[in-house]
Amino acid sequence: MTMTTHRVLPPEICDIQAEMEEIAASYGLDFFETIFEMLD
Amino acid sequence: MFAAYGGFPVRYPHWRFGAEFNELLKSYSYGLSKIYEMVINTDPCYAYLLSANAIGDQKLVIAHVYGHCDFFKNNAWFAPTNRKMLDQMANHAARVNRYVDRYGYEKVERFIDACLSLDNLIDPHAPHIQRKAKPDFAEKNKNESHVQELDQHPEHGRFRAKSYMDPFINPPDVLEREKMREHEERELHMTQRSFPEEPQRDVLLFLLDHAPLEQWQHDILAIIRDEAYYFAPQGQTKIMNEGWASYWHSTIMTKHGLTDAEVIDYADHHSGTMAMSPQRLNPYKVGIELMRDIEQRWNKGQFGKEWEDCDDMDEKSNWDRQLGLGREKIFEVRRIHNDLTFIDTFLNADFCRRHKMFSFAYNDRSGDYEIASREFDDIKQQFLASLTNHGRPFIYVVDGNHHNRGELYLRHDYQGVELKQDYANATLSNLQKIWNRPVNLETVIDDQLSTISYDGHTHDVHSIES
Repeated sequence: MTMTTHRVLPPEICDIQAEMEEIAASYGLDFFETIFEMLD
Repeated sequence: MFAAYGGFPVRYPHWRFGAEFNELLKSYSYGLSKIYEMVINTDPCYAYLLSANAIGDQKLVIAHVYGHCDFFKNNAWFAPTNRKMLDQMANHAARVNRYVDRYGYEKVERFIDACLSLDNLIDPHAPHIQRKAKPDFAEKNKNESHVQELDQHPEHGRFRAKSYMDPFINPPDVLEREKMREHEERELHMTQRSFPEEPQRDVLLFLLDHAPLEQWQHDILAIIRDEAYYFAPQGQTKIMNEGWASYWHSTIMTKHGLTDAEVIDYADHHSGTMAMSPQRLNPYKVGIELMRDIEQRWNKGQFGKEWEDCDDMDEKSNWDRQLGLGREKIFEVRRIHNDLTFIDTFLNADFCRRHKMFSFAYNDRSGDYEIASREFDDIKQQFLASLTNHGRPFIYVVDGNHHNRGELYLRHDYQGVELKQDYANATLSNLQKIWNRPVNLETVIDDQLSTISYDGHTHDVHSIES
């Protein structure tokens, strides 16, 4: 069985993600590329 | 449905996903729980946000997710996991669907049920260590020539001794008994052809290697085992992983992410997630508090011999060497520890006292679980016992040719807690479906070493004479 999601994040969430990613990295957190998807 | 699938968009068909979905849906619609975040350990990491959440919650979730992503990438226990599991899960689903088309849903589902009931019979440490030495032919040849050499000298059990001491150091009757014992052992080994050579903890691997399975059954069992190993580190690091992610969402949100309007909602949701009831330990709360405790202790230099040897409580309460090593230390902790070693190494009496921790036990008279002790040693022992193998029994395959009749013989490594009889019986029934011959389990029942056997029709319990 396959599920589908809304792949495109709203622009305001994209901005928050970019900001959070930058802050997390500035603290030394080290992660693979992270892809967020929106679910209803 | 994503949550029921463990965050993966594609899984093989099985009724338990529907049951989990139903449970989550009811829990959510009755207001008992809310799924805030879901993130999967892959490269790239995939994380899911709920569109119904407010902006402040989205920030919290995103910050929390980056904590998890860092943990997945850097914690040693996740190192052997398949980072392409998204593709692997889709591949598993396609294979199982093919078998469903060919052999029918009922037949495949019944077999998956049997496999899933055994999916904790793996060896979670196996990906990290080499259980069996690789065959060293030079060493083998050397040993063989050594055996030949010993065989040529019948008294090879003899210790070196001066002639006047020899009858005392090498009593002839003892030498004779030893010779007989070795001979009997060799004979027994030759006639019984027992395997494996040593008890094997990865029962699923043993079944894959030796059970009489059809090709599709073999493949499904391999799929279940593969997924069990993928998910195992998440069970081994629940407290650390959630503690680490919570530490970072808390740090990022309180220092950077919050607007004035979001503070109250954030405090409400954060404290709700961290709330701990007397009925259960909250891994988020224990994890974050222990991380903060470690950070503070290493910042102030409250570790090492000097700290341990200090008996002056006043000096200890004001102890601050201003080392500032806390952040560095917690990064080291997240790299090398799992929950068991984390609690064993860093839980201390002061932490237990501050968080009002206690051990509990069942009281026969009141018929309820009650506080048994507030002593640190008791608390730590019960905590560690609950984390060791997730509080599940250690089961080993001892013999795949028991009584030289092809029966399977397992041993429960008894550590003071007896098996639940109904669980043991159900597990043996499912094992028998896969092994196709009688299966036996050695365990302790009512303080008596016993064997539970299942031959496909009835369960029998025999006590073993000591």
